[in-house]
Amino acid sequence: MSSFNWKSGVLYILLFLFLLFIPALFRNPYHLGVITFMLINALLASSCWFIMATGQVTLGHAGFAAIGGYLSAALVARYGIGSWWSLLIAMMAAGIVALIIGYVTLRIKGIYFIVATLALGEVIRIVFGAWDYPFGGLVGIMNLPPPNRLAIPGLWAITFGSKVSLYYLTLVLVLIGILLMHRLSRSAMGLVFRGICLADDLAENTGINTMKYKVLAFVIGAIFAGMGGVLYTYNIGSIQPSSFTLAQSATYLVYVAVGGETHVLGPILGALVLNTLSEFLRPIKEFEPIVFALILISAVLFLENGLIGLALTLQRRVLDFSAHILKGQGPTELPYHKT
Amino acid sequence: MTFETLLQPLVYGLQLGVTYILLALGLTVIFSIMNVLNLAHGEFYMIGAFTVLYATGVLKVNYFLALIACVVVVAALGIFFERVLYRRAKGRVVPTVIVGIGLMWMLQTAAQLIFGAQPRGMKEVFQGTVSLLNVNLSDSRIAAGLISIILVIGVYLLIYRTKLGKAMQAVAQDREAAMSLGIDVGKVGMAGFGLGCGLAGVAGGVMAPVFFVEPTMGTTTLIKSLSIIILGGVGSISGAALGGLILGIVESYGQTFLGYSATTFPFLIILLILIFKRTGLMGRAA
Repeated sequence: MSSFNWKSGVLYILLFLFLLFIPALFRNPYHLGVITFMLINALLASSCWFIMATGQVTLGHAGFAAIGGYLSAALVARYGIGSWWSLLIAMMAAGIVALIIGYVTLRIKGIYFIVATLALGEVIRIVFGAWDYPFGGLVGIMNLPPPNRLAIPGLWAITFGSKVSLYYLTLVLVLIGILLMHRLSRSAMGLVFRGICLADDLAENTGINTMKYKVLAFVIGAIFAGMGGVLYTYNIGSIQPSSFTLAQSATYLVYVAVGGETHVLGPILGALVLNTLSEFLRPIKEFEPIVFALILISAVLFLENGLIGLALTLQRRVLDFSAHILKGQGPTELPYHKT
Repeated sequence: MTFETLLQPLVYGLQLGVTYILLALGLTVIFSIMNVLNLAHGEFYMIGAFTVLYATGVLKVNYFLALIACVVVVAALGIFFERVLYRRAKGRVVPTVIVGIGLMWMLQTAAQLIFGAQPRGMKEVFQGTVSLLNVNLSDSRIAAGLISIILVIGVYLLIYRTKLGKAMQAVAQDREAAMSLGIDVGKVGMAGFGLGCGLAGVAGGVMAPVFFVEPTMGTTTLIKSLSIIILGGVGSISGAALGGLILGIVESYGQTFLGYSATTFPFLIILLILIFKRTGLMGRAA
């Protein structure tokens, strides 16, 4: 087991180096922009996955991204507050809204919770669309300035005018978000989440305050969804209510379902694969939803744990096979090997 | 504010409401019999509307024949997708929802490719307007209301007065017990799904002469149906009827006096009912 961890450690470092060198590999600003949005989608999918760890499926996640995005945009554009303070305030606001809403909606279970969150996400979107000042109504907020420059006086400074710098900003924040959620899901708290997911009532009866943990997962997921919304807004430089529809919330759920919900890499893999696919489908854009629909339906109906499950099964098969070859044994344990 | 401005929305609302009952009945029948929340319900409504639009516009079929055709087409499509997709989700929540989302995208996109994205108006089947006490109602709206009422009564009789309907109730109450009593659960489920989708389709067909028809109309329709069944109580037929009328009237007044903000009504209904009275107005405790 320890050697496996060492190997995966090397793998993660290689992956990180690859992510660092992406701006050098993809010179085309359009491609870099696509990759930046892939990262944001991976963060949003992961935060959706984090909530799902307690067994509650949300279809209103775009609403929390909207709260984050709108609040940061309004604070920067209308009230002249710095981008970093706005980022923090926006994330906190998403968390606070989730805390209040979580307490009243998380008693609802299963399909009813899905319907409730669906309604919630749409209400948030419509409210922003109807709120003219400071949120700009249906037009939204346009022409946001790039995020403020970050500096350690006399030593180091970075400005965020270019696509490359925005990519790095996104990369750092997305990685922080995903790593934090990964750590939390592996902690004692994550274990409680799994218990609640597997047997809600049993967990309650063993003395766990399931409500508290469900709200906690919901709030943490919403905070990072808010961060995703802020990153989205800072990258685009504007925000409209039409970016946060039910279809968008459904997309995050789809990333998780296609990628696989049992592994931290599942939602990330789902976001990467589906976003890449959507770029390749650009010439036949009008058919894209049909292709997507076929992929996601077959992924949930025919794969046990989504793409990550498929990948892990393949990896195990290859490892088993190579182990057998190296030991000079046959490929499988057939009866004649036993003496 | 005159008497007419207060009464006109009520009349519109009642007409909308009875058609909403059809929609909600379809959704609630499928949910109680199959335990499937069909997120593509609105898309079946849209297909129904397009079927009637094409049957009367291109094939020059009589409107009532077109309505029958649209029930058959949509019910067959529904049964097909139940067989091919929903059944494989085996009642698990996430796969069922994902299948619903996929079906939504697929049918919506297919409609956009086949019919084009722009909204279409149907040639009026019934011309003229009835005025009473300065309140106006076009003949097509009156026809839509009447057809809906007849169909709702028909569904009520089907469920409470026929053997198939009794079997459906039995399956909805307890699947295993129904099976052990010799009810062919698969067949009843198929009939239920066909009935549910057919109702969505015929609602679309009934509303086609009144509203514009467009490929994206399914999403709002789904939300309305959801809010009605949650308001009335999931699985309750009288609840769906009450919920449909309430939503129709509330929405009609909202659009008259509040405008854009009224689009939040169905969502607020869903949220408030789920939070404060989960069984809805007439639902039984789960």
